[in-house]
Amino acid sequence: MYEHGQVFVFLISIILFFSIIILVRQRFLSERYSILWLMFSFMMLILSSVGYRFLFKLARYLDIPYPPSALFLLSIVGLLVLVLYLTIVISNLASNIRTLTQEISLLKLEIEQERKRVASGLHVPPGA
Amino acid sequence: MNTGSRILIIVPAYNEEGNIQATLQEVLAFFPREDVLVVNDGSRDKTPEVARMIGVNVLDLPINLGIGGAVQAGFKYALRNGYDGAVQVDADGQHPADQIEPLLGPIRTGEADVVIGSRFCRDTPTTYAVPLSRLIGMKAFTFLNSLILKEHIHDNTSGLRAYNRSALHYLSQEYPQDYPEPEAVVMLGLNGFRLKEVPVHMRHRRMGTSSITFPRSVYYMVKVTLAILVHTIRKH
Repeated sequence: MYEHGQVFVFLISIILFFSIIILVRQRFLSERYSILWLMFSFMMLILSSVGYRFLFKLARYLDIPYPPSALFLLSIVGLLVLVLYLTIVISNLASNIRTLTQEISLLKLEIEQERKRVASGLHVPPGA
Repeated sequence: MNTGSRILIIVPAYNEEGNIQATLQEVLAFFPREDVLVVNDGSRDKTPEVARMIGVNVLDLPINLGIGGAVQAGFKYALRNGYDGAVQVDADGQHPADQIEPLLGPIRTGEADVVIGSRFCRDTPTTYAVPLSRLIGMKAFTFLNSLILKEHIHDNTSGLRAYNRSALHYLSQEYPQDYPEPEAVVMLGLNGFRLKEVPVHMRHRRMGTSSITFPRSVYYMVKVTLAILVHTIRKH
C-alpha cells in the first residue's frame, strides 16, 4: 500500500516539522523565515501520507515510472524556491551591511573632527 | 500629573514631508521639544529637514527598516535616555495630539504596562470611517487575538500606543518588523505585560497616500496571522 520511499519521506517530514517548531520556540529561527519552512515541511507531510493519490496522478501525468519520485520532484522544486528566496534575503542583507559599514566609518570621522574642533576651542583664552 | 515621569513622543516617519510639520506643531502644543523624537526611516524627501527645522530630535536611519524597525529604534532611544515611558504617534496626522495624554494616565499610575488608543471600545459613534476591506482585516485580528489572550483588546491595529519602561525594555529586544501592531499585542500579552485600552478619536491622513496597497495588505494579513500563531508556540 505505502511504498518504502514514501514512509521514509514521511518520517523525515515529521522530524523536520518538529525540528522547526523547536527552533522557533528557542528563538533560533524568527517567524518570517520559519513560516516558509513550516509550510514546506507540512506540504511534504501531507503529500507523503494522505496526498499519495495526487502523487500517483502526477507521476502518471509526467510519465514518471516510480510514483514516489514525484514526491522527490516536488520537494526539489520547493527547495529551489526556498533557496532562491533565501538568496534574495542574503543579497538584501549584504547591501544593508555595506550601507551600515560606510555609515559607521563616516560617523567615526565626524566624531574625530568634532573632538578636534572642541579641543582646539579650549586653546582660546577664557573671557575672550 | 506625576511630574516625576518623563515621556518620549516617538514619531516614525517615511516620506511625510507634507504632513510632518503640522503633526509636530500639534504635538509640541502638549509636549516639550526635547521629548519629541522623529525617527526618519530612510525618507527620500525632505522629512528630516522639516523635522530639524522645527527643532525636535531626529533619528536618521541609514537604511529603511519599515515601521517596526523605526519605532523600535525609538524605544531604544527612550531607554538609553532615561525616559519612564514612550508614546508612538503617527507622522501623517491620524493621531490628534490631544488624544495622547489620556493614554499616559495608566502608565503614570502604574496600572498598566501598555496602553492602546482604541477606536472601537466605546459605543458612541465616531466620525472615523474605515473602508470595509480594512475593517474586515481589523476585526479578524481582534477575533484572533481574543482567542489567544485573556484580555479582550478591541483595536489591535491602532498605532497610538503608550509603553512604560518595562515594556520598552522587552520591545527593544523583540519587535515585529512588518505590520507590527497586532503581533505586538499578542507578544506583550503572552509575556505577562498588562494591557489597557483607552478610547480615542482619530482622523484620516491629511496628505499623500498610505504606503500600503491592497494586494500588499492581504499579503501582510496572512503573514501576520501566521506569525501570531507561531508566537503561541514560543516559550514565554
